[in-house]
Amino acid sequence: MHVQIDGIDKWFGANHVLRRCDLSVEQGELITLLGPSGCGKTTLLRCLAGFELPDGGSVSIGEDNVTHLAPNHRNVGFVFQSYALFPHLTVVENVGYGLAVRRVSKAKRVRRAMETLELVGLQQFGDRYPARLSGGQQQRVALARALVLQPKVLLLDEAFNALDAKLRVAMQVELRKLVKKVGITTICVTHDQTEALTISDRIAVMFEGRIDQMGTPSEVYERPCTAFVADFLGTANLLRRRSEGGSLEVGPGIRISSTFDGGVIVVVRPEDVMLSQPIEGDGWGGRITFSRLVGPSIEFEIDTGEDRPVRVLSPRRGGDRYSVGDRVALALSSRDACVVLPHQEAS
Amino acid sequence: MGAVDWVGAVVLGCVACFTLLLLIMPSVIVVAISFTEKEYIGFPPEGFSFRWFVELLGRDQIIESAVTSLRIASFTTVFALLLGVSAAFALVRGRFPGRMAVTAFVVAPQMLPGMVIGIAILFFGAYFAFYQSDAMVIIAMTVFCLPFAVRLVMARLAVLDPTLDEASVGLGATKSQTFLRITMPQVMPAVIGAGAFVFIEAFDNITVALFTSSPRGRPLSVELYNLVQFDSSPIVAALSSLEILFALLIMIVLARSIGLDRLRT
Repeated sequence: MHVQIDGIDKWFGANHVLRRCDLSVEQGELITLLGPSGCGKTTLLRCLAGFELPDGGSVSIGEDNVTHLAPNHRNVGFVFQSYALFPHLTVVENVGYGLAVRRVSKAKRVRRAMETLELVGLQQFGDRYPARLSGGQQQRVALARALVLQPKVLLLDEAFNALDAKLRVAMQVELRKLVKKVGITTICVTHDQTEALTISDRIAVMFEGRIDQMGTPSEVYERPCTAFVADFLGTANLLRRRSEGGSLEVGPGIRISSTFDGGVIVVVRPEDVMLSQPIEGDGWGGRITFSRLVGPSIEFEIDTGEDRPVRVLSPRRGGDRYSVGDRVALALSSRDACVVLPHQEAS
Repeated sequence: MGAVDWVGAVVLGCVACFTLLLLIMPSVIVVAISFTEKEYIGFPPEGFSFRWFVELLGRDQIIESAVTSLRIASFTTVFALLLGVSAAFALVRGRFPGRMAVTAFVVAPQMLPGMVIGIAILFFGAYFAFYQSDAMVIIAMTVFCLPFAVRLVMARLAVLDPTLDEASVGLGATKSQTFLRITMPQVMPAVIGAGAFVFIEAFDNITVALFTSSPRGRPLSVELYNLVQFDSSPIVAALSSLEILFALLIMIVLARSIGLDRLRT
C-alpha cells in the first residue's frame, strides 16, 4: 500500500530528532532508511508504526490518515531489532498471536500460522520455543508473525543486526525475494550501507533528523547530493574547491562544470580516478604514500600537496606497476565528479 | 589442579558441610524429640510414639490458633500481592517524579524489626480506638511482608523486555490483552514465589503478631510461644515438626509448579 509522510517533526525534550521529514513510498516498493545512529531513522519508523506520535506533520497509509491512530489499529507489521518473540509461546503460538487477539478460531489460526511458516521455511519448527531457535530462525519467525496478518506495510528495524556476517547477507537476499513475492510495501531501517545497497529499490539517506537524499542505490552512490551522503555510502574523496563562473578546476588541467558558485566540495569516488605515468609539465598528480591490496583491487593514497591525500582504487592488474614513493599522474572523467555544497550551507 | 587448590577444595568442602549441619541440626533434633514416649523434652528421645501428635490434635486451643494463623496468612497473602504487584508495576514501568523515593518508602519496612512495626501499628490503631484483633495482625503483617512481594516482582519486571509489549500492541492486541497474554504469564513465577514467601512469613511470624493479635484469638506462633513458657512437654516439639512439614510442603509444591531456580531473581 502507498505510504505518505509529510513534514513530520518530532522532539524528545529539547532534542529535535525529526526535522520536517517527507517520504513517499509506492505500493510494493522496498525502501531503506539509512543513516548513522542518532539520525532519527528508527524514530521515523516508529512514527509509522504508531509507537511514537509526531509533534507535527502527517502519516498516511493507503487512503487513510493514520497520524494519530493507535498502533493496534494500523495493521502494520513491525519486526524489531531484538525480534521481540514471546518467550512463553511456541513458534506457532507466536505467529498466531495476532490472529488470537482478533478472536480467530484456533483451528483457523494454526492453519494460517503454518502456511506462513512454510513461506519462511520453518514449518517443522512450529512446536519449539523461541529460545531453542537460532538467530536466523528467530528472525524468520518474527517475519512470519508480522506477515500472517497481511499487513498494509512491513517495517523492519535493524532486523539483520543480530546475525553473523555471512548469514546476514543470505537473509538480506532472502528478505528481498520474500517481500517481492508477497508484494508488500516494505520499509527497513539500517546503518549498514552494504545492506541498503543490497536490498533496496530506493534508499533514503538520513542525517541529523533530515532525509538528505532519496534515490535508487546507484543514484545515491553515483550522484550524492551532499558531502555527508557521499561520505556515508562507500568511500569518497571530498575535495574543497572554489567554483567561479559555472566551472571549477579539480586539478591542473582538469575543469568540470558546476551549478554552484563559491566554496564547494567535489566528490570523487576512488575507483573513478585513473593512475598513469607522469608526463612532463605540471598536470594533476603526486607521490604515492601508501598502498594496500583489497581483494581484486589496490588502494593507493596519493599526496597531491593538499591537507588530505587523494584515495585511488585501481584494478590489481595494471595497478601493481606502481609502488610507494612513485610519482603518478591522476586523471578523471568529468562525468565521474560530482559537486556538492559544504555541509554548513547545505542545511 | 595444584596441591594448594586441592587443599583449598577440601577445606571449603568441610566448612560447607559444617555450616549445613549447623543449619539443619536444630530442626532434626526438634523433629526427633517430637516422637518421644516420655513426658519431658530430652535428646536423644526415648522410645517412639505418636502420642504428642495425638495430644496436640486434641487441644482445641491449638487447633483454633492454627485456623487463625491460616486465616491471617491467607488474607495477608492476598493483600500483599494485590498491593505489591500493582506497586511493582508502577515503580518499574511508571515514569513519575519521586519514583525512587516511593520505592525506598515501600521497601523500608524490610529494614525495620517486626517488633517496631507491631508496636507502631498498635499505638496508631489505639489512637483511632482500633484494638488488637485479627484485622490488626493482617494490616501489620501486610505492611511487614509487602517489601518481599514488591522486590520479587520488581526484579522480574526489570528484566522483562518492554518491546514485547510493543510487539503485542503492534500485532493488534489491546492493552489489557497484552497485560493478560504477554506480561502476566512472564511475571507469574515471581508472583507465585512472592505469594509463597509471604504466606509462610505471615503464618509463622511472631514479632509482629505478638503486639497486634487479640488475646482471645492468638495466632499459632504466639500460642507456641506461650506453650514454651508455661508447658515444657514435647507437645511443643510436635507442633514445630508439623510447622516444618507444612513449610516443606509449600516449597515442594512451588518447586513442582514453577521450579525453584525461577525464583532466583
